Amino acid sequence: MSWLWRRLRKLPVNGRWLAAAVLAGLLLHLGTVLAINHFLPNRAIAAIAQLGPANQMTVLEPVAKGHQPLPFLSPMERYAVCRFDLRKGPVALHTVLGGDDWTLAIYGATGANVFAAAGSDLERYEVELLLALNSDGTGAGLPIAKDAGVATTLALTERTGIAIISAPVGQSAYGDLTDRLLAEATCTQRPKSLPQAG
Amino acid sequence: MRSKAKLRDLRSVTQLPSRPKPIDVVGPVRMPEPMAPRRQRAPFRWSRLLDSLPMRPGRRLVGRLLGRVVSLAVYGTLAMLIGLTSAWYMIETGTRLTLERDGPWQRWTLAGAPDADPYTRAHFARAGWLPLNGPAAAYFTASRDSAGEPLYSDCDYSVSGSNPAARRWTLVAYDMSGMLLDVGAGPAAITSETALPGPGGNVTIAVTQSTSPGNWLNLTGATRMQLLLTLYGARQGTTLKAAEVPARHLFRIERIGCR
Repeated sequence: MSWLWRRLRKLPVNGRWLAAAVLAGLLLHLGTVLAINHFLPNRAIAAIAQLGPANQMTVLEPVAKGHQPLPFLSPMERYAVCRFDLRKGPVALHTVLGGDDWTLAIYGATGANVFAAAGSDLERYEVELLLALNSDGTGAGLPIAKDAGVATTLALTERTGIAIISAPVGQSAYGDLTDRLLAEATCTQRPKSLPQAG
Repeated sequence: MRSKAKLRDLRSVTQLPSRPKPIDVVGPVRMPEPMAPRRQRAPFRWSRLLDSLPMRPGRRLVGRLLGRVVSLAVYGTLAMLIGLTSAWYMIETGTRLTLERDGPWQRWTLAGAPDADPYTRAHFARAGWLPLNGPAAAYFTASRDSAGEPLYSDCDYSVSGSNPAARRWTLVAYDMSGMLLDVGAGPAAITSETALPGPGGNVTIAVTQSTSPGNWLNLTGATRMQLLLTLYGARQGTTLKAAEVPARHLFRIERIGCR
């Protein structure tokens, strides 16, 4: 290493140019990171968009090799997803969680998890949730954690996103119930003039 | 005969006892001459090099411009290397700013959070992973064993430790892009519901291609892999406090052998 260091020290280096290069590198670093966040679409959102139309709940096949639309999905969970689009109006989500370990999660278009609730958080497993744009003036009912069973509004700042219901695959005796509850979950567009729910 | 006698005389002269050495006299101390200041090497400049060459002014000007272009190219490449490599590293691998490490396990601390830093957001957007926000679940990935060796699906591992203090946990093996390994009919995951605790409540899981009694996570193929340990909620109380789960109690991953 000392040999390399001696060699490097003999290289003609211009201090000003070197400082400018380091500064430019830092700026490039920041620009790259911000550009990836701003311009690169979230792969998960893009993959779910391939699964079906917007504002419709889709139950995914059991996760296994070859049947895995997103990375890191668990084979011990069943999933139902809804890609919502709030540009034409609010979207109502209705589902009944099958147990304490079921979760309902809402993601924005960038993939940020803006809302998550497990069955153990809620007083009742039936969830009626109205997703609305914050600018519509309908988003006033945050947070909803203890208001299950009552239509509660979740104000979002992003026009599109994804709702995911995940259900743990327990004993096989409950498999049918899990499938039925996931299939009964709905995700429907509401007219824009809908009065404030709740 | 005469000449021989002369020669003898001369020898006797030359063999005279040597003169006594002069006594060293201590005189005034002579100070060493001050060293000339070390000449610092002037910074390299293309213009200086070109000025020293016997060239016409026009060519010299072109040479200077060329030198500038070369400098720009060299330092521009350096800037690109610094900027892009560091961005890639901080997004793909993560640093202490964005990760919590505990033995072989690591966790993006702000995974899924709406106020996550740009590196975390870019990491998950590129990976196509939709994690639950920190309080709802904590995701720990390990792509190396406790000795720091990469995990391979054709090796046998023992994953052991105390039962994580979470309401529910799952352990799954994925390839490096987060896709499931083809496990065939064997178990693809171990969860807190399926894991059989041993004496003292500890859990030991055999992660191997061979059928194994007890807790067994099946592997196939011969590829780099990673393990994902997901903790859902804390065991204490009803609220989700996965972020407060002490990470020190996570499983150790020990390699048993490879095929």
